[in-house]
Amino acid sequence: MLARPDFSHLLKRNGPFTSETAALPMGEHDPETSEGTLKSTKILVIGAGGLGCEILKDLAMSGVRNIEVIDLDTIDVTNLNRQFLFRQKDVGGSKSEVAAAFIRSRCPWINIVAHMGKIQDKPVEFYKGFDVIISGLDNVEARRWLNAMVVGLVDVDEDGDPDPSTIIPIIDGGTEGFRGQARVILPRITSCFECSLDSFPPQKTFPMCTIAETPRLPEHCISYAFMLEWPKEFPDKKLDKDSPDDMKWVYERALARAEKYKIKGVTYMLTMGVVKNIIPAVASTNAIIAAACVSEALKLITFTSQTLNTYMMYMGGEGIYSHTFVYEQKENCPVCTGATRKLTLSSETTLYEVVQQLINSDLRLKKPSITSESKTLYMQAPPALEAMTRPNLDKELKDLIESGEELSVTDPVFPGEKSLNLIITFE
Amino acid sequence: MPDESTKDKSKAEVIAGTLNELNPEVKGGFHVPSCSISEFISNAVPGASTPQTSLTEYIKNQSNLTYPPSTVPTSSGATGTILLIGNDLPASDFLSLSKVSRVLGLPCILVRTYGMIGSMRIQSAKEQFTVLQPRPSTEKFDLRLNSTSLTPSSFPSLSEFVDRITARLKEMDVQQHSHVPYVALLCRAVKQWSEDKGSMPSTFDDKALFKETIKKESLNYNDELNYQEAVEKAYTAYAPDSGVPDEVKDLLESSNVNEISGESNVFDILLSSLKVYLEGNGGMPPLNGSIPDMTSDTDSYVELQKIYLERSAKDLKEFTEIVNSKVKEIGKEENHIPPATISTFVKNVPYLTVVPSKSYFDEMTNGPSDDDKEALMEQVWDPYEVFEHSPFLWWVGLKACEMHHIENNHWPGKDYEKDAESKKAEVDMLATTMLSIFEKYGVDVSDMEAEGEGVSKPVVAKIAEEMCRFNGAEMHNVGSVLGGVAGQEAVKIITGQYVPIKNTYLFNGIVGCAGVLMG
Ligand SMILES: [Zn+2]
Repeated sequence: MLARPDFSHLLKRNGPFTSETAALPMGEHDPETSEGTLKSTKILVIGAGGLGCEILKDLAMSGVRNIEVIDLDTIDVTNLNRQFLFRQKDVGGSKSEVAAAFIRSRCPWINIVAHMGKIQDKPVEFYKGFDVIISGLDNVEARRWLNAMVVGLVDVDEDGDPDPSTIIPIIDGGTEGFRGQARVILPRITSCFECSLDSFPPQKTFPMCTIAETPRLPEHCISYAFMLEWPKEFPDKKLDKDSPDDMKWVYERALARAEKYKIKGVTYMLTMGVVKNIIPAVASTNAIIAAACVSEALKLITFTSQTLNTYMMYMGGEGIYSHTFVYEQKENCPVCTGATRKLTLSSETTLYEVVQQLINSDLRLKKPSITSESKTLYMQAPPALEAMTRPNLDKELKDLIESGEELSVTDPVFPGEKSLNLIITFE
Repeated sequence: MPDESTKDKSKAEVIAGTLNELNPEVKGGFHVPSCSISEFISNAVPGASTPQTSLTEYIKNQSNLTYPPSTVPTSSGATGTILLIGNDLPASDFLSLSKVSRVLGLPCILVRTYGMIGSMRIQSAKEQFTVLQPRPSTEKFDLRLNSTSLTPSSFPSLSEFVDRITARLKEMDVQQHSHVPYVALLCRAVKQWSEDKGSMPSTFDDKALFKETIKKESLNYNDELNYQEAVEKAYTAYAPDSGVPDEVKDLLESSNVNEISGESNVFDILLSSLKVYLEGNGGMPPLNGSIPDMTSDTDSYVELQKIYLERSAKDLKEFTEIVNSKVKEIGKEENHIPPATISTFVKNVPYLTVVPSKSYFDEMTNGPSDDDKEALMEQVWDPYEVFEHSPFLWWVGLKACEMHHIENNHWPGKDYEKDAESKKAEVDMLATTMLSIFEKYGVDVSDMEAEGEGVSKPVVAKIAEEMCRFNGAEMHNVGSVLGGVAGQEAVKIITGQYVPIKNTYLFNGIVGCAGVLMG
């Protein structure tokens, strides 16, 4: 069969659907230069797991020359069936380093750098060095942090218009069983990850009274074992979800409780699933979502085609249902709109209650610290400052602030300097 | 990923090698025919019919694969062990592969990538895919509330449970009262209603009244979750219990099921046994035994689970006896259908799914039926947010390119760089082909000169121009998306789990949208 032309063929031709014709125009396609642009572009891949391996392979096979990859994890034997850049001999090694070495060995023309560690430990300057960031993370908190970091990099002028040269697109992919989604985030132009937080519901939990008093399902027994029995037995040790010893303990306790209530179906796998809230990964779904993500990255870099606007959902269980739509920006998104949060509360509300409200509301903060213009109300860290501000938690708002005073909230789900404006008006 | 050392080797050999490397459990083999792929697929080498020159002979000579396809499903319900997948072959070869697959009685998948467009066509071994384990995202529970309330003898153990637990309602404390399973509350309410009124609630007012009666029996409706569940699920009790899905009922009337023989496949034997069972059990299938989670104390819930499981085991026993006598009737050995298969079948009766599957050959040679046209029309008018990206339009664009290739032996867009006139001639020619396809599918394009509403000539021209620009280019990522999708469908077909698509999946990589086209 005759050899078919490849991607470079498209880069050399103009067409009716290049970037400038799109709903989200990012630049003008130039057949003279776009191949060079592809070669010089620098892409950051976050995560070297199931999606990450696919993303790296796809980039390598598409003509990208400069790639960096970051991942915190080491290779586990259970990864081998779908994380195809890893072999038996690599177990225990750093995911990012082994993946990078594999790509280097097969494609020696590619310049690939590996980072082993947390994305939260890299400085702002690190992120500024990339043209596009592709994220293949399975963890909502890391995605929130990354999103807030990259949105924060955009310079906005007095009219609120972003400086295009400071916009680094994020392509975010995620999979769960036969389902997946890919999306394009153009910080300050499209919706951001935080805008869609509601579509990533917090872990499903059962009512505590069911777990404690009227268990019916194996899941209830497992929840009892890890939520109630573990802290009682090991008050000073946090359950390590990745430790087989810890998980075996939970499994055995759950089994004992299930036997007591004659409930069937507690297995080790189910225990893992309930505790980690995991749906098994499917290799083919990773392939689909990763390729969709890389395809978007290439189009954003070369302007050779329109881009996804902004969200693609894939569901492969019952036939295939694929839905593409504009995910709208959330009006009061704390990350990409800079909107001020307004709460109306009784002046007798304690600061502790305010902190709890910030954690449990749609903001889903983890450990909020609050300062007013004149004083530090409560700081979660460092420990000395926490101890000093802790007495404020029991105080009522009327003794701490004026009604309508502007407060500033910081939280570890967002990068250091990112703060949220909060105004509390008394009822 | 192939490396430098593989240069000049057979592609098939290299790919098989990397597959084995990827997963040591995979036994990847390869075959290099002594003729062209086209001749191999279409069994067209005159006089010579060897595994080297004929796909049919090659399949029949596989020692490690079962041919003809096994009539015994694997534990997971698959009835075939061979799946043919054609990748990026010329359209004429897709036609041959589609035809030969139906002759051999094997399913096949045809995958094509073309620039930023990719398509996957799947085709079953026979007229349809029968899915034994669809694993739907929402469970359907067969609780028999209606029949048990009206005819207690049809499910005595449940009926006894309901009477026993509801007789004590008045003596219960608040905690106990709020943990009586809704199943018991509903059964009692339906029984009461039918005794009082002689029929089931059918009008809107009756239904509202029925729910109101349940509410009134609660101590404090807002606090009693079990009563709230009963009201929410009331329709499952006053409506007749659902038997088998309609599409399965249709299957039961097919000749494959009514005239089973030694040649019949396992699925048809099971269906013909189901038919006998339904006739003997008032149209109700063997109970599958699973119940939903509900507000309840542990003891009642566990007891309820047991009641349904025991009944399910009893039904399974009766059903198994019917299957075994059928098996004997057609002269097969006793274990022809293993107990595990029968049990999987019974568990899945409420979910059994049939997906009709027309062959690609039929689609291309005979064109669309009126039903196909109607199904497609719905998809044209239900496009992606931007109409010009509707998968249906690009599917037509891709079909036009295939026709161009059959006629000219190259993809359109070859002369794009030559001069403006040659480029325009190619684009116009492809647009004309597209218009003829639209006509075939009953889409009127003739008087839509202006861009805007529906399929207009300017939109067709734009798509034709983009398809010429692609000129059959092979893009890694489009290949990878389609590879993933085809992999997923292949697993569905082989295992009989999850539901395959009907006909064609089309990926539009320009904006990353996709659709399934049933025409
Ligand atoms: Zn946002």
